[in-house]
Amino acid sequence: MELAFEGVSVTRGSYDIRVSGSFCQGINLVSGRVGSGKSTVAAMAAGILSPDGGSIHRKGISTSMLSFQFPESGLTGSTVKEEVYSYGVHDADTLAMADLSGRGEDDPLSLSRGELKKLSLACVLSRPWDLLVLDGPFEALDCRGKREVCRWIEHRRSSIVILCTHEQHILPRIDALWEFQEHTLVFRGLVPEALARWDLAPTSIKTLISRGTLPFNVSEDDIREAACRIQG
Amino acid sequence: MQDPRLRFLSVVLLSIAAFFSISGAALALVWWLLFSGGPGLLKRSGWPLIAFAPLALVTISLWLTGMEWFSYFIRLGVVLLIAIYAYQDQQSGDFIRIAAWALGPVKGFDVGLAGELAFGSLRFLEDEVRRMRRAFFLKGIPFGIKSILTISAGLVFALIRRTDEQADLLVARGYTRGGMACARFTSSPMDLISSGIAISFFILCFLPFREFFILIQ
Amino acid sequence: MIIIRGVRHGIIDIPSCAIPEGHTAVIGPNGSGKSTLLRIIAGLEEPVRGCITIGEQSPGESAVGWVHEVPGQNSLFTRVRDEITSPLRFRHLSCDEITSRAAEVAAQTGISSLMDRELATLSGGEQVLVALATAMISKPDILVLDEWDSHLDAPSSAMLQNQLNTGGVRTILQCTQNMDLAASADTIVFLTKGRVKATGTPLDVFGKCIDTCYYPPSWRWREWNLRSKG
Repeated sequence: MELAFEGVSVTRGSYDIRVSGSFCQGINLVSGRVGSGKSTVAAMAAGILSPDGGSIHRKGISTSMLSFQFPESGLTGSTVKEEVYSYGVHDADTLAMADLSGRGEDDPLSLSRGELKKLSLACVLSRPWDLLVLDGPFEALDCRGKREVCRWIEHRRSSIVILCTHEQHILPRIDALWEFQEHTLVFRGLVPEALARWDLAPTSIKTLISRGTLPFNVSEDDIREAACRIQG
Repeated sequence: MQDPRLRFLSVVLLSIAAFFSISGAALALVWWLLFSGGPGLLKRSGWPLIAFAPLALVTISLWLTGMEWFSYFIRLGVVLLIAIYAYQDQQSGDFIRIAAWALGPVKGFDVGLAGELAFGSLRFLEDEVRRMRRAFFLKGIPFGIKSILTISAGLVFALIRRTDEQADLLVARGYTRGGMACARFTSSPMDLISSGIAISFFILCFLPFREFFILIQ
Repeated sequence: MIIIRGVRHGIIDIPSCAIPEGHTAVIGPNGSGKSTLLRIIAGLEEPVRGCITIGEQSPGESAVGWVHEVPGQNSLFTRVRDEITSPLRFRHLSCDEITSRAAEVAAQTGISSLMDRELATLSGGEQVLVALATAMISKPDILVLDEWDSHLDAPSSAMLQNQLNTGGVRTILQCTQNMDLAASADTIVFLTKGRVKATGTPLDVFGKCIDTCYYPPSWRWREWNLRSKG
């Protein structure tokens, strides 16, 4: 399976967002500043935005799903239960995953922002997809929710997962690293080697590297392990 | 058109002319083709074309009941095209600028703000339909006749919620009555030509030409 | 000083709580009532029971800058310039004053290049910046920010937090899931299930949750650095 962007560009006001390269099986982290183009890449990858230039090829991908940055964007049901059904997943299990058991008849918009985000992630991550695009999945979640979502994402390693985020502390183990330089998406390489080339790396990773230790990956456990290596 | 006052004037005059008679509708259509961008304008967003659905329904019922349907369809059709042009060419803040210029910073600003919020709601509905379409597409749910009920109910609730949120925003931003429009207008030569032609078409449409030629004979 | 007395509203149940002037961070798990509390303090909702006073005034009487957690719901107008200047236009300020203040706040929040863009064409993070500029333009007594930072990257939120702290607003009340940001506040209010679990300085509150994920990562990192060097 492969999602290939060939000379893709999208015009946004006075600048162009440019993407070239192939996303392969595993967890691909896309990092970038506010407005760099993360959501645009996510929308193009999911097929809901056509590029102004270049082409996108999907090889061996038959099912795909996008988790929106703003969970309201994906709503179609008028109750929590209807929303769960709209993803074709089992309501009781998914509601339990989202810590919303017993709230199936509630209006999804009566949930708090974090609850709604977790519900939409639980729905998206309850089913296997060939291509899974997660746009800002950790936004609005509390730290426990973020850790839980990391575990869910790590179970989807057999798909192509595109994870667009600026989360700094709680991340899943990733396979490949991409980063926006201005508005151009650049492939930094495979992890762990790519971490040394990561401009927007979290302070913890930058500190470890500056002290001569490259963490094996970006998860909390990996950072802790690298820190222990330094301390001996 | 750069000057929203001239655009507003042209739209009002041409709509009246088109509604008044078939010849007025023909003149308004000529203006629409020459100055609004014509069919190219519709390509920008086809969504406003949905306004033709109720017109088609009424026309069909007129035809079925043996009433005059052709003139009705042409006249109202051109009025809709002019309205679509006004909607597509509208810029944020135009309502407030025009109303405050015409009616002053209190009454005018309030009228303009109401227009602005109503216009924003139309844009919001357009975005909501687009959003729902995307969500349906992603979830593999067909976006068709069957889903109309769900979508319509969703739109009504979304609009009610939006109204609530906008009321909160007005309170939080200290709105009580009126405001400063800070209106500045620039008119291009093309604005003057197109609005001048709209005014002449309006006058032409109401001039009693037939009687004039009868008198000459 | 914000005084909360016997407030019950939705999930919120706070017998009494005093929030001093300065920068206060409201933290807690998802669904703990943070947004509801902020809405009541901002005067957007009237509590079913109890009362809140801000100095001598009720919430509705104070000049409040409000940033909603969903940026799309923060807008009245479709163009950035109209949106940002609206609080000053509603207050009938002169056009020159409106223009200069808009330029100032746009530069402060780093959105000068976005002034003539349509809001719908902006990214989620940029929409938050516009909402923040709109809330700050009228120099309110209180700025209430409902998880504004969750859509921003770390450098942007740190830069803006700095701007907020030096922006001359006497009371800033914000809820956040970024514990490093919360740690930079003067006061923390920790909510769980609508009740105040702890309140005090960051040292007091975070000192009680060292073994949880609410402990600020930068503090943990700083302690590790000290240990590994020492």
